[in-house]
Amino acid sequence: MLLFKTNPIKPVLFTIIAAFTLGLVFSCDYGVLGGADKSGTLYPGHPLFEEILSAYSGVWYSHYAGIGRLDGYRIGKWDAFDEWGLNKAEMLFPGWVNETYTSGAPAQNSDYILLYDDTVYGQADDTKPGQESWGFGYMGVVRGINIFNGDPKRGSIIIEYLKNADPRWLWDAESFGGGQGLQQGEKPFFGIYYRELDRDTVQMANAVDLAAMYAGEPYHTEKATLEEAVASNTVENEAEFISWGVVIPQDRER
Amino acid sequence: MKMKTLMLLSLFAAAFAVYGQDQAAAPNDPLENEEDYLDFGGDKEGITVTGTPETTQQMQVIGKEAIERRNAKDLATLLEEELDMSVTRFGAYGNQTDMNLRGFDTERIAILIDGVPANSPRSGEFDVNQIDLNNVERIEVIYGGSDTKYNVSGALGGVINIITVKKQPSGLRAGAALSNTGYAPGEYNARHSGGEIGGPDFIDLLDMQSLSLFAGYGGKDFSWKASLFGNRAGNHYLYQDDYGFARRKVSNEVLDAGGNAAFVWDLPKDGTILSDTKFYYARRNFPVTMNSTGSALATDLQITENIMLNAPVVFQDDVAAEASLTYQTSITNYGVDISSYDHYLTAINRWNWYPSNTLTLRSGIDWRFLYINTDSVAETKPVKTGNQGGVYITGEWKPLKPLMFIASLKGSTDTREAVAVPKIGLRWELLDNFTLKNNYFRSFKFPDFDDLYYRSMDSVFVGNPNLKPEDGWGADLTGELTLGDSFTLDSTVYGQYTEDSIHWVKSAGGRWSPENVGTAWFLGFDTRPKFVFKVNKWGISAIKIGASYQLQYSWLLSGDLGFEDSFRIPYMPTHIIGGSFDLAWKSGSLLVSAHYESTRYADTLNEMVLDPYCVVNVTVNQNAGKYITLFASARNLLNAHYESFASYHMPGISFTFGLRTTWSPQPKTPAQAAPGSERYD
Repeated sequence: MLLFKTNPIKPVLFTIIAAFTLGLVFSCDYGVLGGADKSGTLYPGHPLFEEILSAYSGVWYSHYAGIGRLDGYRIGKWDAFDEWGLNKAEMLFPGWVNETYTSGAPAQNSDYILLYDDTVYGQADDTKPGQESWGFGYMGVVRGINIFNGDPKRGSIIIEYLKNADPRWLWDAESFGGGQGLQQGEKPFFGIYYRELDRDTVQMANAVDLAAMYAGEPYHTEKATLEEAVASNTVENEAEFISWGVVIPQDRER
Repeated sequence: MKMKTLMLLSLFAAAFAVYGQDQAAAPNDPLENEEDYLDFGGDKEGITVTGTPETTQQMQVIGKEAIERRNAKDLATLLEEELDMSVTRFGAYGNQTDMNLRGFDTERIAILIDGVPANSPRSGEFDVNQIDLNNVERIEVIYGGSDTKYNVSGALGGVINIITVKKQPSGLRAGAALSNTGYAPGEYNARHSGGEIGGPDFIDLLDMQSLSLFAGYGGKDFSWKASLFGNRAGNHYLYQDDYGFARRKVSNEVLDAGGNAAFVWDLPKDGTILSDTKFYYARRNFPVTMNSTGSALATDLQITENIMLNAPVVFQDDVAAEASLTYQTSITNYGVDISSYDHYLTAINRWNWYPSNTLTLRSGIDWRFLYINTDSVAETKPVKTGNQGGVYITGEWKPLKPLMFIASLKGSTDTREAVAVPKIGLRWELLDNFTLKNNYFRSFKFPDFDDLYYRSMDSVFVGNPNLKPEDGWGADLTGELTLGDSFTLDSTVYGQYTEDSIHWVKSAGGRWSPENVGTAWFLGFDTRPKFVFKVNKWGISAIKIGASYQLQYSWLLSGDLGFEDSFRIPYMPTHIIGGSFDLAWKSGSLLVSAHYESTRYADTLNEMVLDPYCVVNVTVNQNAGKYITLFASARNLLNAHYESFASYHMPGISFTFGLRTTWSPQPKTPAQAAPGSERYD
């Protein structure tokens, strides 16, 4: 305590030095260095590809507590695409065809299908459409998965739209925002980012190019080829396209 | 509704009965302390006559010296560190910030500048960066919806009044504050660089510079004060991302500046007339996500002109009045093709009448006109106008010196609907060292203008003109204990609910709209013990040790949810704990504080969990001669990694160094005994 008595500057210097020392000790820890931003691509047939999609097969919907469903995803093999799924597809994409845009080939029984339903709020059941649709819904065949930093619980699922099941907002000037100026089927490959919170709770997000949106440019992230889609839907672009803090989790329903 | 009201009444009636036993208040001569009745505020209250020496509300005050000693970068940081207020941020300086009083967010808190509402009439939000803390005289925080002092409509969570203007002391004064804030540089994983390691970037030691200047003059019948401030912030701090990798924040640069000029003229009979002009300009890069390298540019310009007449004596000696007319304009540009040009006119007239020594009648009328012009391709009706207003009458009755009852009734309207909002309160000095405060109030708020009519550029966010107001009731009970000069303890228990709580919900086709989703409930307990020891040994003049604990339960009973199956309201921690150690010596001070918040949730189903966190801050101030004070702060000293808003990682440790100087014919006195936030009786 003589410290204080002899010179008032001393406790100030002591405090600053102590704070700096403590701060520098703790500031060494900002996380891992090296090995960041690695995207590994899995294609159909790879055991991990099958394992991931098998785990996520089912019906998923986000919810507002006490009010009901908001939007949802259905993932499953084509041969398990039951009547519920077919009815939903018919409702969302009248006139859809089981053919892909690039090859014209139909989905096979072993192919995984992903259907996005954005029209559920206010529905009493699954048989009626929502009050309004801007055409965000889509359906396609899963062509690959990018997993991020070696963690199969985070990545992007890359699909190819089935004919007439690509989202209207891309090509229909009467739809959301006047469309994105594409022709139907012009860019049929699209990535859905996912982040698993637990086995039955997963955040899934449809990617848009936010920087392009704020610059007043088209902001869809659809690509013309699978290779382009694989190169685009990476962990690096996860940081550019997705703000996880506002992505409402999807809950497994069945 | 009836059951809820009965529950609240019985809760507080029981507590009231316990405290009320055997306490027969002695009748005192009300004139014995006449100043209590006739104190219009003066220097202590700022410029308005609204002040009352006694309140029935839980209230905390932060004085100018405490504000300066904290050296906080913005208003929210000050309130977080000084009062342990829960704050949600989208990053470091200049980013969107939401404050939380008793579980209510900024839209439901009335933020006043010199007694005039300053929340955006459009959205209810408030930009905390527009306040130059070097130019603030005092901040009052009134907790809960029971305020009868300003009686602002829709203040469900409480009132924060920022007093910036007061009559200047005699002679010329001038001053400046200058500081630099830096982040500890280090290596990090660079984005879009093929795995390269970046840094250390030593420029981050010079990440933020702040400058504030003022000059003031106090004459016989006239005084003025002018100030300017500016900040440049790179916000290039290191953080740990979701994957555990070290990163450096980019694309979040901020440049802002503001100023004000206030003139006060004395009138006969202690009256004053005031003109206060403020401006604030900010140019900010917002990263499109927390982690992105891309950004969107946003600019804001706000100009406010406030004319206020303050007359402690009008017509007769026992009538006081104040009137203010405030013009605000807000020009905002966000993104590429959306701008808003808003103009607001606010008129307030308050009257106080003291018909006897035991009775004070207060009344007031306020009106606000909104002219909103949104330049957006999505707008079908770019120009919108609106009106909001109210009239109130409040009676303060003191049948005995230690006992005061307050009853208030305010009629409010947004021109679509009119309602009456009653409030009653009690203040009872049961013992010389113990005071009881008790309030019951209607908890009512009209929807914000944006809730009704907003339309975003892409039409994803669209208002709902069919919204109902939020409506409910609340009550609180506060006990204030003082033991000698060394110990104070303030404790409050409260309960409040609002039916038809308004929240934005994602609806058909991906569109977001506000809905009346259900009833929001808030129950809580708030206790703040404080020890002050006058030492006068070893060069130390005082030691203050303070703590706070806030238990805050919140439920959103949306849809058909009940208490048993409901969830916590997003971003509302259940436990907030604070502690501070404050050491003052003859020429300086040391302040160490810690702030802890328990688990928060980012979504209504409570599936997105935000981990608890604890932040420790250290600040030291030292006078260097008669006119200069040097200060240094280390914030987040233990380098806690945490998210305030989900996926928005906050800075680790930062260091601030600066100086503050004030010149006047009467030099500043040495630092006094460490006053911080104070209880206000």
